[in-house]
Amino acid sequence: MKHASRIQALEGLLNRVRARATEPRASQRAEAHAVSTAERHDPEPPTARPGHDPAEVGPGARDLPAVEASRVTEDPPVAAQRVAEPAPPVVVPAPVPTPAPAPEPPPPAALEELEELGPADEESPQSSTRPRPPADELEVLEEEDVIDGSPLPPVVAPAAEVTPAPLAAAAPAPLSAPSSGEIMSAELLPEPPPPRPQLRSVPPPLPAAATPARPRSIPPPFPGVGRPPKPESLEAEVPQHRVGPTPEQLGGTIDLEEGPPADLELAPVAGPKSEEAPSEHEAVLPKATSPGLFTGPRPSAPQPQPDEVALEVPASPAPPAAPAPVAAPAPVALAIAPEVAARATTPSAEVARFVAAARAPSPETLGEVLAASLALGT
Amino acid sequence: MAPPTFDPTHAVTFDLASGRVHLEDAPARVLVPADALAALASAAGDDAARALGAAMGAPAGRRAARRLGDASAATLAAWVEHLGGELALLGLGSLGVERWGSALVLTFDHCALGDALAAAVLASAFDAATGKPVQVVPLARDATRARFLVTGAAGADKARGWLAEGVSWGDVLVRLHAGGAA
Repeated sequence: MKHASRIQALEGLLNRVRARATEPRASQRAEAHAVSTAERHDPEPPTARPGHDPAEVGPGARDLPAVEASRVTEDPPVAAQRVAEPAPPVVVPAPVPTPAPAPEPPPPAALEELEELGPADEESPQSSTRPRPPADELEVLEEEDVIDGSPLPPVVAPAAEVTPAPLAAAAPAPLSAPSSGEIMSAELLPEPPPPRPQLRSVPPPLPAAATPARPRSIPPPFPGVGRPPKPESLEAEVPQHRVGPTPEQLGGTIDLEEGPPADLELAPVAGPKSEEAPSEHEAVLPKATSPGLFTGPRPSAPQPQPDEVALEVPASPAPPAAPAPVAAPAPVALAIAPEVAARATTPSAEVARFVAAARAPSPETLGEVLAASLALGT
Repeated sequence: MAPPTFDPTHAVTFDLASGRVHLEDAPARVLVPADALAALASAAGDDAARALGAAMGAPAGRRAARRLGDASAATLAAWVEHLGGELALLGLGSLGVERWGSALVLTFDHCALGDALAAAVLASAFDAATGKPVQVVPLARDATRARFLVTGAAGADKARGWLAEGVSWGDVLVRLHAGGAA
């Protein structure tokens, strides 16, 4: 009996659906879109709308500010995701619509009739992102659709889905509507929901360094809706930004430290350069070459550092192959010249005259001198 | 003992109010051009020039001898120092002394007077200072210096004769030392 009553109800619904299918679907879709758009852009919060009971959207809706509500209305898909957040197993709208968990499969006859309806009946009735049907139609359904003599429950779930329900309004009640509500949803929303551009338009993952900071007011993407992170893609990006040796290379370095075996090492070259003291080298070098061909510096004094010896090599005198004329030390000649010249400039004749002319002056008075001078010529 | 130096402090007084020039205790002096005075002395003859020179040098010798006390007892340097200072105040030049053997030769540098007038000034100065009559014979003159021989009357005559013969002033001195026979 129960199946029979249900079948009758389904037939009624199917009839009405057929009748409605004859109507132009485009106009209906436009009308539904207009209604949903009007509700989305409603500046008033849902709690302020006349005739709207906040209790329908769930507890806590009154406490939310208007800004939060408006923000949610601007992004209906996100709002729908938020609504579905409390019950992930049921609401998570994966990109591929999951089959609705029908409480009971319809009888084969009903299925045949449903198949005749075409693709309009194939969609999932639990899609919360479906555009809300016109309000007048909802009212009609509330008044007319009666199953088993009882009026259908008010279609609260679509209202909660479309209206700018805040985050706290994600009451599972509309989604967990009674099984009868599922059927009603299938009737009310015969058309398949348009593809969600929001879900598909998830921006590709940017590089870690180029990812802009997300504004604080914008919530993070829903974990169940957005593209799940791909570990393989992250691993592919890491080598591009990594600078430096990889752990494998570091391991190779450790291997190098071990070094080859001792038998592969080169034997020390036997030559003049050894670890002996530099002074010993300098003592041996003159013996190895002949004095005439030796062009290096002759050992004069033991040098403690080999670097100092190398610096002194350019300052060595010219090789003996080009004999340089022996020049007298000019500085010495200049130093003696003034002495010789001084002796030469003093003639001995003048010295003799000076000695001869020298006479001890005797103090004479004016009278004596005058008397001697007056005696001249006498 | 070093001879006292000549001190010309306040030796000349220019009385601009009365228009006079005083030289210590001497009477008023007149600043005349040296060339004009030399021309006047040469024009006046030897006697007039000697008189003019005596009037100029005798006071100078007396002032120098007064400072020295006894001029004959003073050293030749002291005598030249003070007599030379007095002649310098008169504007006659710088006095010096040379001894060529026994001969006493006075030098006048920058002498503004002629040879005759200058010789008269020097002879009068020696006479006034020492009290002995001396003869001053001009020997030679160049651009800056004039030499005068201080001798007696006999030697002065011989020297003037030789100088007149064209004997050099050196040979005159040598001849005087040789006894003046040559």
